[in-house]
Amino acid sequence: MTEVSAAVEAILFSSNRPLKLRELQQATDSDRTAVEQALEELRLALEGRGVMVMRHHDEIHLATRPQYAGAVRRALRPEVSGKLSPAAYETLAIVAYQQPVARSKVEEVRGVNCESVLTNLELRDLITEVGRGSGPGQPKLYGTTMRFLQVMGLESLDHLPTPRLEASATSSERALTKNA
Amino acid sequence: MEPPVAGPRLGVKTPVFEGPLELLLALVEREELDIFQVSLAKVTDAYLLEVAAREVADPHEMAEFLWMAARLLLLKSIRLLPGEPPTDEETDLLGWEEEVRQRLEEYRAYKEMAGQLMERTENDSFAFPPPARPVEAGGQEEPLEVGLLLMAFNSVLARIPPRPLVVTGRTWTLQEKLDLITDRLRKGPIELVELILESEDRLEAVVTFVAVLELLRRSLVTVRQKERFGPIHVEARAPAGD
Repeated sequence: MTEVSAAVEAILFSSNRPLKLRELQQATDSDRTAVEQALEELRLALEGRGVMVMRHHDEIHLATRPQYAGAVRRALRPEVSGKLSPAAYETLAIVAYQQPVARSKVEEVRGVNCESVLTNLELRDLITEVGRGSGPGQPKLYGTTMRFLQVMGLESLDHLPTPRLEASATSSERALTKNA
Repeated sequence: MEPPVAGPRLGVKTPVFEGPLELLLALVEREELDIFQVSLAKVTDAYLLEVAAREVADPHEMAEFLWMAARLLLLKSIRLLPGEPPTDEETDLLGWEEEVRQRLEEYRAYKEMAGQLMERTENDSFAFPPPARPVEAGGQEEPLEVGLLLMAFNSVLARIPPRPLVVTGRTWTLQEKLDLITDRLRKGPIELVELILESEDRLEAVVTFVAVLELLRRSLVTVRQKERFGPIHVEARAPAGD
């Protein structure tokens, strides 16, 4: 393993919060490309291991692999968070694939009012405001959080389950493949 | 002319449909119909049956269901009268049907993904991050830590008497306090709140606090707090290295 990669591993191991790519650059005195390479190297080195590199946009953290969640639970008995409703999962799926996305788009897809579901997901730190739309009233735009990846046990947003669309060239499919 | 196909009620696991789209999708899937081939008129009767069986408290929500029902009926009536060239309104309606199909398909795709996400969490796929630890505040690095100091300062300020009208105690300059604190730190760490409480009046407390901030700024001291809301210790930084 290269020096930078080992240093990045050490930093991530000792950090109790996700670190931005920029912070890793500063800490290792490397440029973006070097840190990206180091991360890729670390990711490969951790294959088959109990922990993995987790990445949400430009935020990086370590996390245990989802297949060992049961073992970790048995050992540490962490608090269990409340179950999500089917509506919450639908909304999460839409936000995850369409982000950044306004409430109006989520409601268009689901065909129902989604205000309370979105608020609930925001309170659970699964989604967050990531910006404002340019439309009238500058609507809140939602995106997922690092916590979302942890709860779903995903290494990154690239690992989201892929949608299966039968129709060709619907607006949704274009949006989905664009964000996948 | 096709007979009304009502069929049995939907025997689905979640009998509550949040909106017309969800109900329509469930019906199409029950009939194993292809979203892009089926005429939505085919599921009209089943749709009406489901809506009639629903107990919807929210009139607005019910209106949504009924609006869809009305359009479906209209659509069905067009299909039942073949041969007539479609009027403008009917062309409109056929366009609407196409749009609903598109929306159904999009909704179906997301619903499926939602199902996969749900499966992941139900099989417990949680990825645990490293645990939160007591934060050891490094000297003056994070503006947040100064906020913490301010909180501590504010919490004790009220316990110190205001400056009397007739000044009895001495008036401290910043430099004097700096020297005093630096001197004390040679003997070991000082607890911040205790240090501030030594002040005879609030003005002195402010000077003391500013002196601590100044030492932080000059990187001569660090502050440490072992646990949240615990005591905050000010200590001298090692002159060499760091």
